[in-house]
Amino acid sequence: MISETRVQAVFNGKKPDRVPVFSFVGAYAATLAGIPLYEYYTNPGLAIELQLKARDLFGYDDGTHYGWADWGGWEFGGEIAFPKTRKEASPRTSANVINHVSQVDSLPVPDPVSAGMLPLIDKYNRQKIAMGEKAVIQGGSISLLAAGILGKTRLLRWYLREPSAVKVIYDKAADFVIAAARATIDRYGAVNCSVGFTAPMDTNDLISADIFHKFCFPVQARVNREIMQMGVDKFSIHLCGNHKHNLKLWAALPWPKRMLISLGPETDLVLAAETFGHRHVIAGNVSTSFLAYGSYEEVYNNTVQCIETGKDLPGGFIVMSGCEMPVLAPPLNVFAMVQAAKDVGGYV
Amino acid sequence: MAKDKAELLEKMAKSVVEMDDDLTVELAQEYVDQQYDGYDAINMGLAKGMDRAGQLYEEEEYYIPELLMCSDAMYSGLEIIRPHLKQQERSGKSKIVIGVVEGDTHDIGKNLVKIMLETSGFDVVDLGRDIPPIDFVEKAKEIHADLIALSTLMTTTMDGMEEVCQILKEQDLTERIKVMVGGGPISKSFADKIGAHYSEDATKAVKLAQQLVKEEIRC
Ligand code: B12
Repeated sequence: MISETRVQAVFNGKKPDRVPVFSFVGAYAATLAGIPLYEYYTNPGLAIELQLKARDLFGYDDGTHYGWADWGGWEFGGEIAFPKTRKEASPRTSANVINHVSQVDSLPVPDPVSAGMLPLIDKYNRQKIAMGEKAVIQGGSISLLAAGILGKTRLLRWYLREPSAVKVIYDKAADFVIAAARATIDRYGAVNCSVGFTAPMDTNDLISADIFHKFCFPVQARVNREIMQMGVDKFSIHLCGNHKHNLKLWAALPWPKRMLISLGPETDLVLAAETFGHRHVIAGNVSTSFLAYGSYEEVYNNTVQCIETGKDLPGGFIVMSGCEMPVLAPPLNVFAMVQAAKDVGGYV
Repeated sequence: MAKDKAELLEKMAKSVVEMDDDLTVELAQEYVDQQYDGYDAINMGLAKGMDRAGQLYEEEEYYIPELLMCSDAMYSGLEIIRPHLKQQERSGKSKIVIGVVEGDTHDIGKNLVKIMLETSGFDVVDLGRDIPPIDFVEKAKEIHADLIALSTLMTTTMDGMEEVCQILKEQDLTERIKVMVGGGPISKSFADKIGAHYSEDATKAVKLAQQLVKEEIRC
């Protein structure tokens, strides 16, 4: 089978020849090409080209990715710093937007076409559409945008100290995400769009399920519902970090019938699949620490373990890096994932 | 009626755990009005509260927002107590330079470690995140620090820690300035390899720092 049919089979509820491998190679493709990360992140066309070459090199099954987790700050009027060196790994908010509660009510919702990373995302989308693939909509999580607007530690403190201000910020961030989704859908049509999001600020490494329920859950429910009402039914979510206590809440959000749920190494694959009711394709969760500085054998064995755990999950399974491929991973560690899937991922 | 010292200390600890800034300030004021010993207020009241908060965090009863609120209460009590410390207690503190190494902006864990170190009486200078190795050494020299505490959550930035140790070695400072490292990808074996000391969380970091400044552990 070729990658496309292999992955398609999983989404259609059929068994492919073997478990597909998603390497989650994004900016790592720039490392492979010896190109500065800055160029990768500011040139979406180049980002696609390099990732496709990397895919040919390793033979994994996922398509291309683009974007970064630390967003919301730039879009709402703060500043972004693109990586100057490889070890910085990804762009990050270098100046937040809100320093005092008095600034919250007057915070404007930014333009859904020209704000922050959106023009770059649109360049990426234009090319994806030209390739016959889907345009991406950044769906959240809304907590990420709130963290970008406020600063991470301030957000964590304000959950308890200034809860009403935090709610206002979440609402504005949700309005923005919905408006940006609408703009993308208007341009490319709902059937040509897919929603992706990652949730590192909602992890139980940081917050309780109660806080997640109180702040993120209601607005994320609104965002998901509205985007689905606009006709988009392709979703993929990445639960970054430990989401053990949040899983029931994630499962209770409005979702399409079937989507991709990828997990970090900190969250149990089987528990997640059970909690979501075995409807969705589960992907995960090869340790990024092994990928970054473990040996070939460590990555290989860890991938085998993930495959053995996930292979027969009723909703379907893809073995995947637990987060974006670390930009300094030794190339053979990426290959170790593919080799393991070839060796032990077969379905009879 | 005036509360006795033990009762005030216990109440202060409790008000920190319960994240009550106003009550902590009130109790701290009452405590200094009674002219009880300032150092005990920190050690047996405020720090004890923070210690309990740390335990609740380990038990997944508290999360980071709760810990930050406890630390706010603790700091507001500290403001009241600090001017009443005897001169010697104020100047005799060990100094630590803390920060997240260059390339990494994950700073939530570092902030927790800083809070716990300050609570336990260390004088902590926080350089923030994304800090070049040389800056740690320069700052440590400038303020005559006993310890440098380095944090990172990314494997790509771990070598910044090694570089700090290397600079200290080149400048012949390893005896005078110890290095403590922590964060997700860091392990004891990595710390041993670069000539630093490792602790896995904020509470244990305090014990390690205390041992290091007492010079119980040598490289
Ligand atoms: C929240 C988070 C973010 C937030 C950071 C917010 C902030 N200002 O800190 C955001 C969304 C911005 C983010 C961005 C990124 N992230 Co991130 N993130 C996380 C997450 C989910 C939780 C981290 C956290 O705060 N934990 C809670 C705190 C309290 O724990 P802690 O930091 O470990 O600290 C404790 C101990 O380690 C110790 N400790 C910490 N420091 C020190 C220091 C000393 C001296 C001592 C003694 C002890 C000590 O004590 C602390 C308290 O007990 C982790 C997942 C994870 N499991 O860690 C990923 C994770 C750290 N992120 C990761 C990645 C890859 C990234 C990005 C590159 C992603 C991207 N492609 O955009 C960017 C990096 C940008 C950059 N260059 O900095 C990876 C790192 C992989 C690796 N091994 O290299 C992780 C591990 C996710 C994964 N599973 O792969 N992230």
